[in-house]
Amino acid sequence: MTDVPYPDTATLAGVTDEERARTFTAWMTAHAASVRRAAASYAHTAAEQDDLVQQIALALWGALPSFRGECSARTFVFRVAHNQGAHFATRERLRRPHPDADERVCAIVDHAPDPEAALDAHRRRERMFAALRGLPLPHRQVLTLALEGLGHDEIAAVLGVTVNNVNVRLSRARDALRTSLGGER
Amino acid sequence: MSRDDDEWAAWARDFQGSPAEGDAETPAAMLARVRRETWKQRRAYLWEALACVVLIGFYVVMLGRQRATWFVVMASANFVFAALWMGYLTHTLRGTWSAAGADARTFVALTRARRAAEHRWFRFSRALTAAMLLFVVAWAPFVLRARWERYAAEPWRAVVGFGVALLIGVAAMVHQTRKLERAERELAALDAAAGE
Repeated sequence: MTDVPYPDTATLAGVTDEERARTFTAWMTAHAASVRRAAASYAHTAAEQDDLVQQIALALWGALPSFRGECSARTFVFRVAHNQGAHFATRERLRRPHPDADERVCAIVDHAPDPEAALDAHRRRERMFAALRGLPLPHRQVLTLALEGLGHDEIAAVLGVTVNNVNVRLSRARDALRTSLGGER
Repeated sequence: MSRDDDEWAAWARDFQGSPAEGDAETPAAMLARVRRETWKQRRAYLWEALACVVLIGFYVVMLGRQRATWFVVMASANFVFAALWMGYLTHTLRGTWSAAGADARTFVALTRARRAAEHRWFRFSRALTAAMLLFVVAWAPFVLRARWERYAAEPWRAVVGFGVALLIGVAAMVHQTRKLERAERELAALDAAAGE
């Protein structure tokens, strides 16, 4: 994944509404799939994922004027997405302290031509997202970001922790995911 | 390639190859939606501001007619309340999105601080409502005695007057208690999420 370069927008404070809209559209276009995957790692159903994506978009729009160019656009978008995801998880905890297993529906699209292979891949992905959603928040966030292909320093910038902490968390998160998926070391 | 690397590569392939299903809204449609939502938030704020202006206006007009000490005290309390309420709303509106782009740890800390401020505010407003309710209850017998002849002739005036005041006070207390409890639950959930 490549980052979207915005050399001319070192800071978005005080930019015109038109410039803000252009930046928003460009960033959402570049990171749409990542944002949807982040949403799928927090929300169970497709409808909830849609709601969360909209919430992330709203938060990104609101947060754009606070972008000062201190991090990359990708880091900023991931921060907004995972902050909103954590917020969603907190509200979810209030609404449904123990979500039913049958509510853990993860709708995944697969465009593979072979129906059997598609079904197999679909099930595998469904299991993976269900396992991710079952992990504690710090493990889930670090794994999701690493699976997106972010480097450890970038993950540290998104989460506000040290690179060392990322390494430790990631190692534990991998073990937890492996256990959730029923794998063995 | 080690076994760990193979496993990670398989996970990453599964993860990155799976955009979740949903109504694939285009960024342009998303932009239109966020603009609508932003306007809705501003409108909600403007309604609150209007309610404060009406409240202040009501007491200003009434102060022109009623100069009794108790009324001046009540009007002053309401002016202070309206000013605090507007200050709180403005602060909340400004702070809502500024934290969204911060790193996760800062965001959780800021969200917790905001929820704690909300909690303090709800506790304060509930205490203020309780004080006003107590004031009305303590004041009611004096009003009843002063207007006894009128109320004896037309009891519905007393029922409607005191009944409505009591109903508004109790409804406000129940509403604020619910908000306070919700804020407490949100704080606990935030702490639980942070401590995971």
